[in-house]
Amino acid sequence: MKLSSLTPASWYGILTFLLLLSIVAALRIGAVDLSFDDIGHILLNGLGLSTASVDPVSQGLFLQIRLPRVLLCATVGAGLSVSGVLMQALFRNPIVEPGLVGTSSGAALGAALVFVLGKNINWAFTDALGLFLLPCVAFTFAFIATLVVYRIASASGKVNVATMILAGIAINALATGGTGFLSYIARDPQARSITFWNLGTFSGADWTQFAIVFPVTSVGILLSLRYTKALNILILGEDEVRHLGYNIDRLKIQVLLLNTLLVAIGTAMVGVISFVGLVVPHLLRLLKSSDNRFLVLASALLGGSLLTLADTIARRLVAPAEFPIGVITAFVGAPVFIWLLVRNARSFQKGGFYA
Amino acid sequence: MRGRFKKEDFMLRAEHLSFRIGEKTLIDDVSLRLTPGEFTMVLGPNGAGKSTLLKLLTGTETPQHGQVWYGDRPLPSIPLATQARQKGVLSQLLSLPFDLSVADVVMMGRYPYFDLNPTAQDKHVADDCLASVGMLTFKTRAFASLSEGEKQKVHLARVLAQLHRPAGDESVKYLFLDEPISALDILYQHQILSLVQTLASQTMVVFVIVHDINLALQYARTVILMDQGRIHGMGSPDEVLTADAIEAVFQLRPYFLTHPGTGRRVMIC
Repeated sequence: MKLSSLTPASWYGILTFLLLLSIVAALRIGAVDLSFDDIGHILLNGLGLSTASVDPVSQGLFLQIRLPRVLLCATVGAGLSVSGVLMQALFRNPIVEPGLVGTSSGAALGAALVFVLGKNINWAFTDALGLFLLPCVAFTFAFIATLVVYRIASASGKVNVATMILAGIAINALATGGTGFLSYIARDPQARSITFWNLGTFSGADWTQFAIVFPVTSVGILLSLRYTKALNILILGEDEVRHLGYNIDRLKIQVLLLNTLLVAIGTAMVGVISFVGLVVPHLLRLLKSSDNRFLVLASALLGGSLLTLADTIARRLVAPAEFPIGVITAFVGAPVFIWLLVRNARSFQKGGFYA
Repeated sequence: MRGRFKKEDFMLRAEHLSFRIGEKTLIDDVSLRLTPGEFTMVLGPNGAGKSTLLKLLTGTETPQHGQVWYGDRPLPSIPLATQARQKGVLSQLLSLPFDLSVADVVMMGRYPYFDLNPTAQDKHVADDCLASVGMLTFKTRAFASLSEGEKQKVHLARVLAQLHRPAGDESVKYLFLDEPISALDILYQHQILSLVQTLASQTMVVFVIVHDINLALQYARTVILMDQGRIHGMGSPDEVLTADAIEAVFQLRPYFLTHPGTGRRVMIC
């Protein structure tokens, strides 16, 4: 394929262009379509550089709702995709993604816990502490869930894919059950929406959420680059990681922590969005290479674009109402997942796919 | 300026290694010394502890008793990143869950030397090593599409790239190979072993597990014959690989002929 002969630098260029294109499209299209002129004026007004007269409703909609939503969406998409790269490399398995191994549902449970029970604890929401409570609890639950799945799957010394998926099902069921219970006892209508937790939505996006998610995700992605060489060697096997100079046990824990960081904070804000972390890295592997050094940045860019586009579709299709974004990602992602399973089942018969 | 190079300073020493898993003793009080410049081959029946000994010597497993020394330093005290520039290990490998190109796999051998992206020098070394095992024309091929023997050669090239020394560098390197030629046809078996023999003569400690006694008779400078987790004999091939020793370890009485070309001993069963 021609695409695979392009250098990583030109790939980054193409993907950055795609991301910008998606963001601009997402800013224009929605329940109210805005023209480029409007967007330009609103942005300049917002920065205090111009005083052109724009419809104040459009201006409020754009600055307070649409802009933070689109930016949050691109950030979450990037985080989930990079997490997919890390998890697939760590589990040595192309069908792992944060939604499968409990990370997302664990984070959702943690977030639901804060939302529902936190209302009864006054200090949690009155203090500035409340701002940090949600990400911290989501992170803790997501990490525990992922660690449990990983421990069960690798109990025999190497990761067993069947055990991993079954353990993932069990932990997901447990966490989803917990989230469902909390939604049931909740009085707040927002927290009561089970759909919100299980299918995800960006409808509540605001600048505060973006201000929390963006720095965490950016730092997470940059840190991921540090582990890409070791994760490449892990493709050969765990002993090889050691022979080429890395401590495998430390690598595992650090990558699990990093992955949790990337997934949990976003999930706490927007709910569980599945399949992005599965599809994006896989698409790039097919198109270019399995080199994790390439996959991390490329997945961040592509994941941001795809989730932004998915959210635009979710907003536009039944406007002024909107689909949960998880419906869109599931419709696209599940067939890809099934295709991967079938493909891997075949190579498993040839003895090529053990983990 | 350092004084005259003394091989003894870079010897690999193992002292009273013992390794158990559960009740089963895999390595039982093994001591040995490997000197740079000597091609050491390890022989023994299945389950004799050859691969386990290799894992203990490379730090992949930690012995319950005993200590491994690289020169004057105990192995656990050497940082992993430093170890990766000194010793290369080719173990029996798994299949890859993701496909990589041959060039990607060989470049991993240079990972201990660059930060995120390889330098021109690293690419040059990787190509050289690929050429030295006769696989340069496969450079852009997908690794999964290779035969088992070709995969073995690419992995060997990767380990050679890891231990590559620029001209003038005479630091001692340690090379461990676990059955590197098991999937190769006879031509490549001899090519690879000649290559490793040359490396051994250039101040490398070379420790190779093989199954073919005749290859050991032909190439090894030192032979370690293992049986039931112990060293049955260690020394020159002619001293160690006697008919009695082979019968004791492999339970099969061998006969020796004289090779009409080289005059060496050749074993038949």
